[in-house]
Amino acid sequence: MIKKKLEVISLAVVVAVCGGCRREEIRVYTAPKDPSARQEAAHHPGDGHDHGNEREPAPRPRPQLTWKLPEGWREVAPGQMNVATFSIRDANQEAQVTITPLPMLAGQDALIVNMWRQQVGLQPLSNDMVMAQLQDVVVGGENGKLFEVTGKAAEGETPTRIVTAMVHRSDASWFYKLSGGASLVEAQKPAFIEFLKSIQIKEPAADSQPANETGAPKWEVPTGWKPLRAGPMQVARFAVPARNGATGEVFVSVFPNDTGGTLANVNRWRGQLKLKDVNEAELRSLVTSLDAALPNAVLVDITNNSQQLIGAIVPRGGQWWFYKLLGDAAAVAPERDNFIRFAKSTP
Amino acid sequence: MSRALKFLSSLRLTVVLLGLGILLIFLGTLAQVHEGTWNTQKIYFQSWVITKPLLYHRRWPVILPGGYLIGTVLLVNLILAHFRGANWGQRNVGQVLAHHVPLLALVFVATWVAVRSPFVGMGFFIALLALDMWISRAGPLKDTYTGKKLGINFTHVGVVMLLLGQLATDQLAVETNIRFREGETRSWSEKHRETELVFLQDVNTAQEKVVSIPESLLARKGELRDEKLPFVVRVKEYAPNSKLRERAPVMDKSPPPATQGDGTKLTVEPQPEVYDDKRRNLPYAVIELLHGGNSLGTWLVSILLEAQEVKVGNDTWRIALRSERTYRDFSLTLLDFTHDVYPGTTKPRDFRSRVRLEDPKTRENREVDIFMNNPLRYGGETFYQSSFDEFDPRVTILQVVRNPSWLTPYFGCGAVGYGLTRHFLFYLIGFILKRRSA
Repeated sequence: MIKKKLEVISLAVVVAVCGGCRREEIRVYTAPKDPSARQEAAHHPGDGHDHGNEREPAPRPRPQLTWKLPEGWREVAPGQMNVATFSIRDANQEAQVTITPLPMLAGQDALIVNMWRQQVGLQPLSNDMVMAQLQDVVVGGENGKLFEVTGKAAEGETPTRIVTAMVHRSDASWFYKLSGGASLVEAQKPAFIEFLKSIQIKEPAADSQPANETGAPKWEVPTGWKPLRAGPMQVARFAVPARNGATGEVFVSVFPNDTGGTLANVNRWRGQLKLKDVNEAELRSLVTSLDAALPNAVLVDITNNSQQLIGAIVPRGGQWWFYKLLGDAAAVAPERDNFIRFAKSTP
Repeated sequence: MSRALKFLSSLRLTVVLLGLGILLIFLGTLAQVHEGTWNTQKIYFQSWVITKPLLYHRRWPVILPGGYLIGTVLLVNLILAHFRGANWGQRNVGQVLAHHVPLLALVFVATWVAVRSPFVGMGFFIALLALDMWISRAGPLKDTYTGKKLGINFTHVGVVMLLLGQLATDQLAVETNIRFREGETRSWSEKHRETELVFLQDVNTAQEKVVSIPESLLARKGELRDEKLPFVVRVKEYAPNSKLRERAPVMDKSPPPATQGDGTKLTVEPQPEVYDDKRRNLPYAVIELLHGGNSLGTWLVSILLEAQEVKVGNDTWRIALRSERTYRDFSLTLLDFTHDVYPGTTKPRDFRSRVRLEDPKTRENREVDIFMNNPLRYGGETFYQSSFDEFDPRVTILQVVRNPSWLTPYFGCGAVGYGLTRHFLFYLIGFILKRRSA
């Protein structure tokens, strides 16, 4: 009798342990809605920004570039990471030229080359093999390195070819990339080399430095704005005071050109609030002058549902300053005057 | 007693199991180098067997007993050993129970008091021991029942409670976290590792209907149906970790991963899973929605993407892959977060969150400070100050733990502590009395 009881106890313990397994099933419930997307709209995956946790220095003002455009090349709106993009087409193929400054890549040539090799489906090479493949090239009077990769293609398809020149400067590593169908890229390579030679680099004027001697901008930050860690491609970032759960943030970036013009930037901002693009005619009714003392500086105020974005584009000292206040309308609207004063103030 | 029962209740088995337990902890500690803390916990301690453990950069072709197997056999061994050799016929069972059960209950009460107020609880323990000693040695039970083994029995009860308590914690405890900025209100918390595919539909301006499919069902792929969904969900691709990037028009010649939504502009590449505590996996799935037998298109869902709209007739749904959420009836609003470090270092000295707790059901509305070693306990959950955002001084991270068996280890330790002390004192007093009478 006792034996049986003991066996039952042993079995019960095992069953109790096994019985605890959880089941996964579809759940249906009603829940309060999320507060609408806020600052994430300004910093989302695929935007070309680095979402890692590395602390990066605020970018220094970049030099201005001018060039002689080869025949058949057409300048198009640059992506977020590029300062210039050109499109080349022939009857069958398409190629693209981009100019991209990226920070902290000096001394990592092997990594860069292998990154592009992997993109076209090639195996990475050892450091020595990469170094052996780098050729000298002149970009705007400065010495750089050039490398080429040609990808594998399926039968009947044109392989992709990339010709990249890179120059490691003190402000950033500059990449000039010609990519596209192999035969078109091969045909355009002499023009690309001439294009690189034609580039003229004008260093930023001393008075256009955004930072003072201590490295911090000299502008006057409105009371109540909390400084936050600026993301890559940003000079500064602030949080405006929260109001009943509504929040907003200010982002400041500076570029050596107008990154595609007012229309492209306003449409990019409208896209962040999930609004449709406007055309030149519609743009005129949306944009106002920021300040009579700042010629060509514009202000735009966009609202969609509870979200609001106030943006300012200010050409200053040969550079373009982009200010953006984005967040819940309840937090953004009361800060409009502060934001305008901030955007007008000299950094 | 059969041979199997003799084996199961033997002291030799206990020693072997304790040895295996030590080996398991040793190997589990080594394994954290490659597997990370969370995965090691799953593979070594919350499993029945461990096959081909990854140690020192290679997989060893061995099978080892996992934590559940060792724990279960130890539990059976402990219970059976207690009954082994017991001569129940010669004891007054009623008297034993009349002494054991109320005493054990009082030990638990003393433990509960000690959790809330350590000094009062300790006083309770000492008073209880004194009373127990008097009853057993000098009081009404001194001639009839000595309670010789009571200390050992209580120690065994305590160990059984520790084993069962850990099992209950593994099975019932849920850990989530809340990450919010100053000014934000949260009525939900999120799991750190598990994700869910959600279909959202507005109920009114403030609420939405949520149909949540756990990641484990997505991983099986195939078709998923629910009567609340107007479509069938066919999971075409899934990976627990991935890399997402914008499509490069010249480079990406293969078709985009989805025909609708954000996936038309992106490229996704599956990545190996990561297990270390500083990185997280970024799962993705490509799903096809079928309505009335017709395909509505395919969507790429990723934890990095926001909700995407789907129109079915006059209804609008939103699809998103997000961290698995747990909603509650009450909410917390972060009023202020302060994070102080020791001067000249980045070592945290004090970080605390002032939150407003609002519960419409109980009409609770109060401000609470949550800081290190001072969690908020509310609604059967404990809210700990867990972490902060290195780059945003306004963001706090609270860890939320729901563990219905959180008192079990305390009760287990209380019973073990009382049992060992009582055993020692019982024989010490017996020895002293013997010397005196001699």
